[in-house]
Amino acid sequence: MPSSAAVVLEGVHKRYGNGPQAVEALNDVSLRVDPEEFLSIMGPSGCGKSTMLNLIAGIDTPTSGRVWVAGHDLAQLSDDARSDLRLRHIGFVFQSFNLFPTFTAEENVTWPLEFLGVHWREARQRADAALAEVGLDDGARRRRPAQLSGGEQQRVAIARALVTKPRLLVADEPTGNLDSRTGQSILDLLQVLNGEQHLSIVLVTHSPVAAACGHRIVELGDGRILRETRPSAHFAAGA
Amino acid sequence: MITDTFRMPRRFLRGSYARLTLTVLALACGVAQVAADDLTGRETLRAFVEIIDTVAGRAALQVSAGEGALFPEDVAASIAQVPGVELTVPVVSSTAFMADGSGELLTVQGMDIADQKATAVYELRDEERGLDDPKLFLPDAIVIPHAFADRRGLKVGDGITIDTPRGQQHVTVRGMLDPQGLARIYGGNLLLMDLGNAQDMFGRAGFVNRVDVVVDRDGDVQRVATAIAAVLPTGLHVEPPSQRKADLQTVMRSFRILLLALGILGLIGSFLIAFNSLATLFEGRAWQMGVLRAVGVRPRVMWQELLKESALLGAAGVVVGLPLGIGLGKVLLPMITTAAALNSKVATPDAQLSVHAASLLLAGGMGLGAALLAAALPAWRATRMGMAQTMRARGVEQLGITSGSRWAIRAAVAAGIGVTVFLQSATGVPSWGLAATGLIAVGTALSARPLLDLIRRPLLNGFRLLAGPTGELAIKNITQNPRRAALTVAMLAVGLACVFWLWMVAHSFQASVVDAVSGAMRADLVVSSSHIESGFLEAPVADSLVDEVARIPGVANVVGERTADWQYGGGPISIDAYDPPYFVSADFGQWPLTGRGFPDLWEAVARGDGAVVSSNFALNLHVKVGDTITLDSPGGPVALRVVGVVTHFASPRGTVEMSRDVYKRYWHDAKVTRAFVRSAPQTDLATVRAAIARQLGRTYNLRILSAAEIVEYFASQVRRGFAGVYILALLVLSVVLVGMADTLAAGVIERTREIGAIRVVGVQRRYVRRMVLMEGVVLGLIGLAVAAVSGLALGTLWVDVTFPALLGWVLQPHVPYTQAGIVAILTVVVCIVAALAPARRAASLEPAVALRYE
Repeated sequence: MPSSAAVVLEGVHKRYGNGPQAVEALNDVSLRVDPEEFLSIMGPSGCGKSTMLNLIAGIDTPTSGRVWVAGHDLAQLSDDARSDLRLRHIGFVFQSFNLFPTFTAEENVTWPLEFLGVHWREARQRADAALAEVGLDDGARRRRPAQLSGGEQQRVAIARALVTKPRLLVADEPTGNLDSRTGQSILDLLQVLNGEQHLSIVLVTHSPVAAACGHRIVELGDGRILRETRPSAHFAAGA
Repeated sequence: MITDTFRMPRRFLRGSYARLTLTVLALACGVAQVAADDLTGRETLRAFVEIIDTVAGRAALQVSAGEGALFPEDVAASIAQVPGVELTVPVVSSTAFMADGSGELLTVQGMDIADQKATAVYELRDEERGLDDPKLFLPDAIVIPHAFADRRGLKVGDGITIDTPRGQQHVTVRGMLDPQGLARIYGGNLLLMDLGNAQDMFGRAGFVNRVDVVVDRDGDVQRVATAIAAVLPTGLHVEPPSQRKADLQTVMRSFRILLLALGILGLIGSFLIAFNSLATLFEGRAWQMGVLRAVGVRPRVMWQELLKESALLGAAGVVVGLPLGIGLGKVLLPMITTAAALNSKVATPDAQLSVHAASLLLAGGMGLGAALLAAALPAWRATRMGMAQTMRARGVEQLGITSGSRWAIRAAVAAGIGVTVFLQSATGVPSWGLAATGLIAVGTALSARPLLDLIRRPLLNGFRLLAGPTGELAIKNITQNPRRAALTVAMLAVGLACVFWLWMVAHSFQASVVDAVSGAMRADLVVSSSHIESGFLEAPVADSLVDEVARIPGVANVVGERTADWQYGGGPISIDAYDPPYFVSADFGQWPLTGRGFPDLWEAVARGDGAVVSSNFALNLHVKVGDTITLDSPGGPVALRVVGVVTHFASPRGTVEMSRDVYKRYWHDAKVTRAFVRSAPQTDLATVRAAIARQLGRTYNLRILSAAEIVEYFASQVRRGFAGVYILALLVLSVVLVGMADTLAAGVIERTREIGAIRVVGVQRRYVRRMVLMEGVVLGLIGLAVAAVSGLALGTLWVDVTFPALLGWVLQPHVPYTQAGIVAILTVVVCIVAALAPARRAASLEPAVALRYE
């Protein structure tokens, strides 16, 4: 069992549907993410990168192959155990933020702690700390998502992902709905979190600029790993 | 783990308050109906029981010869000799009426008011003057409660005129009763008089109609009762007052089952509205469920959090519904007590609604339960979807249970309906009818989806032809979310089926009564007292009336009829006795025969050899043509051969029709309830009527009706008994309005972007408005069609099987076509009204704004 890695995928296939109309989203993918590594997964639409992210987060299950996260073989875990793993050890950042519209920014960050049984007062303190960490000002905490800018919403989403102190952060196109300047600030934030909090990060993106924030870039195409590069090497190759 | 507060549910419900108000209102209506039904049922029973308890006072036993029949007073002396008897109180109990035009009913209690022990039994006391004033024994002396005196401005020494079976009498107030014991009941309308005076005025010297028995403090009531029965002459029986209570409790239990059935149906309607609303709400938030799952919340924990949301809605519904239910109970109580009094043929008690915690807990519990149940399936569904899928699918109908499972449930419900209907017919136990009623309601709801699937294509083609693209869009919108459409149709169908059901029962009752009475009460004029003694029965008058009417010029023939309550087979029945000419002359009509009878049955009845019984008598007491029944009368046992079966509505348990000669001979009762008059040929009926009124009206305080008018009188009594149906129908239609508005509003919100796209393409606002209105009307019409079938099924079940088992009456089913038509029109109007606001909203959407809506 690969206990030292943050994430390991071994011979993973993911097929949707049956028969001639079946779609092979991932085809014999093997991958390793080391602790504290910032891995970028890049590829065009439909290449299977979101599918890979869903498998890593335990939201979906592979058709065949194995997935380990934080030393746990996800196939051996029950649905409830996978839920617990996500709640305690994995933070998820979505492209469309997915903040609850009727919750304030602060409430959007506290609720995962409430499901961990943390008392609401402590949850609120930790949420405020997480929001401060992502650079959201105090005045914005009591506002609802509709009253926040795109960048502020994504910061709240990142705070929500961090508040449970996960070991692994997975981000699915976190800058996809943002302008370039705001998106860059989010990417900078992710780099800071990786460096200061020693957080393993798996970032899915179609943008080479975003991908370059990571320590390593994995390019996907048609459900397969096409190549793995380092950012400087990636740019040198003219990608 | 599940959170230990309602913070998460409250946060999720923010922003949906306006939409969910309708859901809360619907739940509140269901809670209100259950609360009102239970409160009125309890209070009605309490009011009737209080009368019995108070009339009986400390007496543990009562000896009588049946309702009001007279027997010798010296029976009391025999009873007093029985070991264990502390005291016997001979009583003449009767009714009189104020002759001042108000017709106010007065209960008369005649007893030895000089006997302090006797008056103490009923807590009768006049603190100021005492009950031993010699003036109390004057022939015209009465003692009245302070409450009655205050209401009428009477004082000691004042005279009043009352109508009695012997005609008008003038009496004088000689004392006032303190407000306790017997003086408290009947709204204070009590006349206490000395026994001798009461015998002269209302009965017969030396005769009483009741002996109340006080048993020794440490006596065994059952043993004493047995000993008393051994010394009683034939025709008299001894029973505890609780027996009457038990009879009334049986009737009230049946009423409460009927009210419970109504409450359950109302709650099913509320459940469907809540289910629809919560399913829509959870569907719209499916992506949030996906986020919760993605972050790591377990499915079961999520399901429980969603149930907490519905618990909040249910609690809000209960908070609104309970006060509403109390108010509704106050409105319904007079109607329910009247209906119960009519059915039991007793005076309508003075009932005031009091609030019982048990009723509120029942209604609150059922309301909360309905809300939780309504959320259980949608919440389970919401937590079962794949996380990635739900995060992408916003507002699209989610997968439900498999088609196979749905059909399995439908089959199970259909089988359940069959089994419960069979068991109800076979056992006569009303609870099976209640179960069948609930299952039919559930089956109605479950039939909506397959029906919609079946008619989708024909509807689409039809509306395309009738209303062009607007109609086509309306139908497509309905079928785009088949679950919501089916739930809306189900809600409408269940609610309207309830209305049809009630109306069919009421109409069948009324039509059956009219059919029977029309056949049996054929006369030019029907003469009776203008006073109603109890229920719908006119007060009896002396049968000298018959002879006096016969002497009126223009009258060719008169027969007297006496209707009286009696006991047979351990329970109450009615005796309907006619003068013999009634049976052998077709002049006055005959009760319609049910089934076969003996060839010369009417002659046998006229001779006094036989009797005909009512169809409910035959059913309830397992008697058939050819059997002999023996009635214990004050004059000894009366054996009568059953020579035929008729439809009769004098008693819910059954009626025996016999010759009045036999009745007079054995029951010592020379009073009549009605006199049937045939005028001589070529005589002006109005002249005869006027002559009777002029010569006899004042003496007997008469009411003179034509045959058509007497039929209408009975029909109006049935309508009185079912007056509550109109209130309940109004409540149901209100719930329907709320549910329809909620559904259409949800549909418009969900299709905001689509409507924006329609407007961008170039469709004018009025066509958008028309489209939404059409959706409302189409859903309403489909719901009506399903309701008609279910309502007919429910009505037939209750008329043919459950009602006879519950209340004893045997009815013929009659479909209320007129009322059904009115309800249908009202429903379409309600659907249009419900659709107006959503239609206006849809039409007012700005295309650009609508397209950006998320």
